[in-house]
Amino acid sequence: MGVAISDASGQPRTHTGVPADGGTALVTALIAHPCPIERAALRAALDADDRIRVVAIAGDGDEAVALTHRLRPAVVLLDDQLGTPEGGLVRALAQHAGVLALTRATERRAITALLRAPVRGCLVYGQIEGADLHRAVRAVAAGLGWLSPVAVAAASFELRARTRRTGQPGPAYQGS
Amino acid sequence: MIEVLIVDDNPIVRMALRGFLAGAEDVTVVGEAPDGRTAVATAQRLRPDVILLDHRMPIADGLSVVSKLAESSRVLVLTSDDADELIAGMLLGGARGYLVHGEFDPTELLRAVRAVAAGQGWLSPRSASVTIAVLREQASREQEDAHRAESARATREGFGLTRREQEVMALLCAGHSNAAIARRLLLTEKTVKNHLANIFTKLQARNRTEAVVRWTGQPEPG
Repeated sequence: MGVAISDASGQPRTHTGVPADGGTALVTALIAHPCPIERAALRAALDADDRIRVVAIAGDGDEAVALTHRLRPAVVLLDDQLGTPEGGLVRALAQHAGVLALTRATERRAITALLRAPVRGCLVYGQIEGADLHRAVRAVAAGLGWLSPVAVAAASFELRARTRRTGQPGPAYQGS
Repeated sequence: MIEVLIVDDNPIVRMALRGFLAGAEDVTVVGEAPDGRTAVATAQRLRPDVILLDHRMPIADGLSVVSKLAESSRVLVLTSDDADELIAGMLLGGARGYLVHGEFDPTELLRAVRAVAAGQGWLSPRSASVTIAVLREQASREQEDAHRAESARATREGFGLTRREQEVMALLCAGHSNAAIARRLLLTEKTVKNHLANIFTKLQARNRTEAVVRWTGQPEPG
């Protein structure tokens, strides 16, 4: 049920050159989510920011890839129910857009697994307040990132754990 | 109640942060410190839940004390610097949050303090981006290491060393002399020499260094 939303304004679809605070430049976004009601809710939330334009909505991974390659949105909001554990979908999307993952997961391992794919951010449902969604979309469009508080906890734990395991800097000792 | 220690060399900034936090009923500022060294002493005395840590300060900067402070409190970095190396250093040092002056309002500061106090975290867009990049870099390095270890293991099996010869080889790789190897394995030095002769033959090595290189799978130097 992929829907490409016509872009009568002819605004350039680029995700470069946006200042760190998001600025006033228009950011184009694609929503990829399996649930129609949640898609509509995300659409409504994004439409509330006049600096963000939703250019397409996809209900599955193939549609998301096809629409992303055709329309080149700056940001793809990807619900993780559409993703694969190997991150193939994210890699395909990330060739042409900044991928912002949306997840219900709050468990550390699930979140770090998500962050192994080339996403630029991870929003955790239940921790998205106020302008978080808009700020996250604009940050990703600007080439930066966004992590919900529980995702920060997972990421920073993993950073420290890996540092403890392998030492910094340089590779781990391979001798027996 | 979340107890907060403010660490910043600029008294105006400390006052402003106090003001930002004053409105919250669940947050109380228990102390201030103007440099890293004072921060460590004050943190040890007060044991605050959260430390707001600046980087550029006299005597000891934020980066030099972050891991010490992170041992007993949760650290939220609040600074005007956002160089990638500084962000990575702070997070690897144990900071759970990173905010840049001029990019946050009192509401965001409070959310960050509460998230960090709750064991979660809060990152500015740039520091989130750096975190994800460092994480991915570490993961790919670990993967490479795993591949290298696996191919080294496969190579070792091909040499067909006995269990005893493998034990001798492990000690050789750790830099032990024949006498030390003999002591550790409860063998005579002559037996160790015999084992080494067999090992060199199997590894097609002319000397100890070559044997270690073959066994560990490391490229020959030069």
